[in-house]
Amino acid sequence: MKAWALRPGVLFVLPAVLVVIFVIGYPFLYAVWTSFTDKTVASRANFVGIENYRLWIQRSDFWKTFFNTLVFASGTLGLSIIFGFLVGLSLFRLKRWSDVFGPLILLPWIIPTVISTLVWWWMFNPYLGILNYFLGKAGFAGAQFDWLGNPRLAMWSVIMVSAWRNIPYFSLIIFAGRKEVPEELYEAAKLDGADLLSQFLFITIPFLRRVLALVSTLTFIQTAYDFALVYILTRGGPAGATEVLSTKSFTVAFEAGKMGQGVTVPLLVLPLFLPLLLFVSSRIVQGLLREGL
Amino acid sequence: MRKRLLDYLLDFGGILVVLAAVAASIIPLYWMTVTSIKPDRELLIGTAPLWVFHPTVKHYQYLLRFTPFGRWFANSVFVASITTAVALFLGALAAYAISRIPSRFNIRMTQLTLLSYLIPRAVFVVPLYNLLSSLRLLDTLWGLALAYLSFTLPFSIWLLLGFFQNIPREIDEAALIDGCSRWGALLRVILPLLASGMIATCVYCFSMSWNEFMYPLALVQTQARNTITVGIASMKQGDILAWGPIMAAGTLGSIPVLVFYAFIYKKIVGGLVAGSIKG
Repeated sequence: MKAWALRPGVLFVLPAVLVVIFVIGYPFLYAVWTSFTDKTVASRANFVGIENYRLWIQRSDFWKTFFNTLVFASGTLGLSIIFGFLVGLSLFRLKRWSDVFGPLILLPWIIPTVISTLVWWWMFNPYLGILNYFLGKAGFAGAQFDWLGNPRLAMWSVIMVSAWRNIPYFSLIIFAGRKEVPEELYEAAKLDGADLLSQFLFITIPFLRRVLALVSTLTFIQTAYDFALVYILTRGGPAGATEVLSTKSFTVAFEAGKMGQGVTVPLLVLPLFLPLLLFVSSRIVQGLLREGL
Repeated sequence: MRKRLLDYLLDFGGILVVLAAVAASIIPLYWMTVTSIKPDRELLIGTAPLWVFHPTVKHYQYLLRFTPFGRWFANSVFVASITTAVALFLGALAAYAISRIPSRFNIRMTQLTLLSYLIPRAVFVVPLYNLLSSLRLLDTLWGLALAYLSFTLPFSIWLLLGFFQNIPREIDEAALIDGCSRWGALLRVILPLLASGMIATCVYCFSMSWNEFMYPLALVQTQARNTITVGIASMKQGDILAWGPIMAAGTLGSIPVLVFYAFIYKKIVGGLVAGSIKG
């Protein structure tokens, strides 16, 4: 009988497990511990109990950040689903050309966020950017929108960039999913006189439901956690109008140096996201299990 | 007759939508490239933003001569390569064992690892700062590569697990009977079959690391040790007329990802679909 640690099942998994504990498990526990202390970048940690949590719950800027995060994530998701269907199903109608158009459409999803965000920042420029230029050409002459500087417009501008990045992904998922739907169903529906809308509602949607539920939840979570896009475009401004979870946490922890307070922000929200997280991870594990894990 | 008219209309609408989507995808990237070769004079007039009359490489020269762009680029290549290599090696070992010996421990670990992937990076960045600080790895590229493992490793395990599942167990059982060790079976029989999956995982991990922004922003302070993402973003704070150089940096910084992308487009789309249908 071989020693427990030398069995291949353990031996092969062990290095990965150790690294996961070191860079994920331990940091997570450390983060939870830090949230109960007054740790700053310069000073050591003193235990302060639930002080940080109490502080944030009482502060209106935390709730504003939380609300902004929900708006940002739902806005992105909503636009991605609507335009994803539009583009994905259109791509399906031009199936023969999908090998040409598919790669071009997916580009925004490939380009590094930092780079595409800087390009959008430049497009948003009120005087020299192409957005106002196009609007001018389209007849809104003199309409110089301050896309990122106007507190009422900034969130929509940020959502627009985020949606621009995500729509291609949804389009291709929906395109690929649509290819899997048996054509006979549509033939039969047509014979029965079903119009396009009911074909869409009663055949396409039910077939894509499972895929879309997973992809949408993942996108919602990832958008809600997003940092680079908002940080580069607005740094959470103007006047906190686009402040989201990650930018708030980062600014407090590293720019103000209050690590204990900063790390509390995402930890405070995490329980609210837990149902979504569990849904995604169980779905993914289920998928792996079905393959015979 | 009416039906055919409707079909034509739908085809026409489909073409319009797809062309609009292609335009929306390409115009920002086109505008980035055009800006990068525009002389400042044309940039500031702004009457024909989408056209360039006197293309120039001035912004590229400025970028390479007066900013540490070359260093940033090299730093990103270094960090992304190290973390990708480690994540791929450890991920392949772990995924192989989990797929062949699905003990309860292995399954629980996989679930936990996946769950970690769904926790905001903002939670990890503070403890990683302190961890690297106590290891004296703060502000170093090695430290950054170590920190990147917190997202590349779970991802590589997850992705590779999917690929390993598709290889029938009979194959490595046959190898074992022929006298291979587990290690030999993995190295000589399974991995060659998995070449394309390994390449796809490699590309994903590399691009994730290439694109990462928050970790290097927090964990690196010295300008010359910045990654390309933080470096380019830091140019925005500097000179107000830096559009040309920033867009030149963006153009150059996109190239590695685009090259990879051209290689594995089919795989990406296949993977997206497989990943999502499975779920």
